[in-house]
Amino acid sequence: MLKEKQKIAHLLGELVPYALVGGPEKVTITIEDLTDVIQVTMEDMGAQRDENACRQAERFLNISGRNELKEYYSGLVGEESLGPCDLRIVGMMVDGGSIEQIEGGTRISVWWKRE
Amino acid sequence: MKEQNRRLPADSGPIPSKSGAGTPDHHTMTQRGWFILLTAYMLALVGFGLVYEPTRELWTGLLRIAQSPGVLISDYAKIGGLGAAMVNAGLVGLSGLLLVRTSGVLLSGPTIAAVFTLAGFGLFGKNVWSIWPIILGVGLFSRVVRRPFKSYILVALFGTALAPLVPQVAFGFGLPPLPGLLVGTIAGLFAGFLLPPMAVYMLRLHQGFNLYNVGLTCGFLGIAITALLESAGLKMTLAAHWSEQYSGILGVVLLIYVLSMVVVGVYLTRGPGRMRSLVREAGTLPSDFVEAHGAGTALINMGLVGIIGWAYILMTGGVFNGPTLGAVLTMVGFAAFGKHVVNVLPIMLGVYLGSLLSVWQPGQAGPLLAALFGTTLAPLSGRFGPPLGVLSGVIHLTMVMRTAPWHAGLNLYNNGFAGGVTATLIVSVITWWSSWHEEHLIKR
Repeated sequence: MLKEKQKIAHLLGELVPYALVGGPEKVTITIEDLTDVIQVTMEDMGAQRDENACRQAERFLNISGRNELKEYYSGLVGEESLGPCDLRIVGMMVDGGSIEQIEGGTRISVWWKRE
Repeated sequence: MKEQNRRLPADSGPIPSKSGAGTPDHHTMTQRGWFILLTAYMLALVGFGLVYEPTRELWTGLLRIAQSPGVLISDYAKIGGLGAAMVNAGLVGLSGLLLVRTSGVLLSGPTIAAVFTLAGFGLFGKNVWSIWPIILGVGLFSRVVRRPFKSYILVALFGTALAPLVPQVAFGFGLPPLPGLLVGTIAGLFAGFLLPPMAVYMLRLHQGFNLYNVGLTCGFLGIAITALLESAGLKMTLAAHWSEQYSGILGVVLLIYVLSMVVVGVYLTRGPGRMRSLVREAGTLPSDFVEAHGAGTALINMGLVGIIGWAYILMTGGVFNGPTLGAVLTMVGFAAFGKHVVNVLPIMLGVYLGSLLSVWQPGQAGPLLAALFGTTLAPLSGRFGPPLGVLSGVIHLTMVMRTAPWHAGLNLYNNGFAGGVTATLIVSVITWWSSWHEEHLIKR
């Protein structure tokens, strides 16, 4: 479980800066333990987001089957204070994700199977 | 979990599917296509070597290469002849390619970079047997931590930067042949075993701004190994094998090689492809251009970056030989994984200007290799702009001219090591500056 806790902490280190870039008034984070799956959902209210950038970020979240990148570049998760802030590293760490427009903001969800 | 959250992305673009088959549009290529293309590029090196050198000289040349320690700078064209060096380069590249293929890993940006880097260093430092103990050491690590080998395949492939350790221990310390081979192999296994955890950690130092991250890792490990060996009274010295007699023919061959990539890329994309969006990328690790922009665009970029490297050698009056050809092949490989025609130029300009302002000449071995391999810092230019790229190039030159003796040339990616130190230095200052600046502005 310690590994999962570390993974969640590191992923939040990527997701939160992504949310803050849009200048939101409120950010809500929900972490759910769904037996065999862990889901992290983040809602940022009042953030300004570019639709194309959101679609690109969603594509990054749904790249799968890249084991060669996942283990190695996991070292960068949550460590990129100067990085591109585009969720591409988050996408390597999770099994899937979505970015949805909700009333007054954006909802970002990522999930992965528990190891 | 709510099923509606699991929807597919709106635009699947050229991102490969889980099977790795890829979307068959004008911009991308199937995994089989990539395998055939890369095999052809590696076989072209072997073929050139076979045609260039008579068979008897070729075999004796390959034997000399296999027995050479290969520490920096060991130009195999000088040690074994041009034909043997090219055959060795092609076979080393093919070894990496087959390892990727049999491991079930996608042929995409990072693995293409690894294959061309292997082939490039097959011209000066790696041979078909010295790379394997390092790779097996990484494999042993993956068994111990119970993870699939493919999770560490990039570390295994790039970790062959420490390949000279194997022949150096086997043949360089006066041990009898068989015990020497055994001890050399064990030393390689040991180094390979240590690489994965170190490589992951090193990324954090420079935040992905040094593309040759394993070079930084191998630099630190090389210093430790050198210190250990020298404490046991085993002295090592840098090599100075630098050929000049093949410059004419190698210049022509290299130009045809990289131009062919542009041709294949343009054929696939039916035009310039997505180059305009590709050159807007910063290039920080991990930036897979094949995945993000498609195979055709990546190939055009690979060819153009190769032409820039070729032109720089010509412009500075440098020679085309094993090390410089290897450097351009490495640039070409990383043009699928972080380097592009816009972010490499400021770094090279910085190294060039640094050479003019210092005691070195741009066409000399060290500064020339620094300009070509120094493009490991291309993401700094891509992220923070050309002026910082130029400054990074100047700093990199001064660093790289110092670092090789620290690991006695055991780490073939000396520029990756110096680049890592330079990137860490610059990133730490920028991180401090950006937070100070933000705080200062808020106070005002």
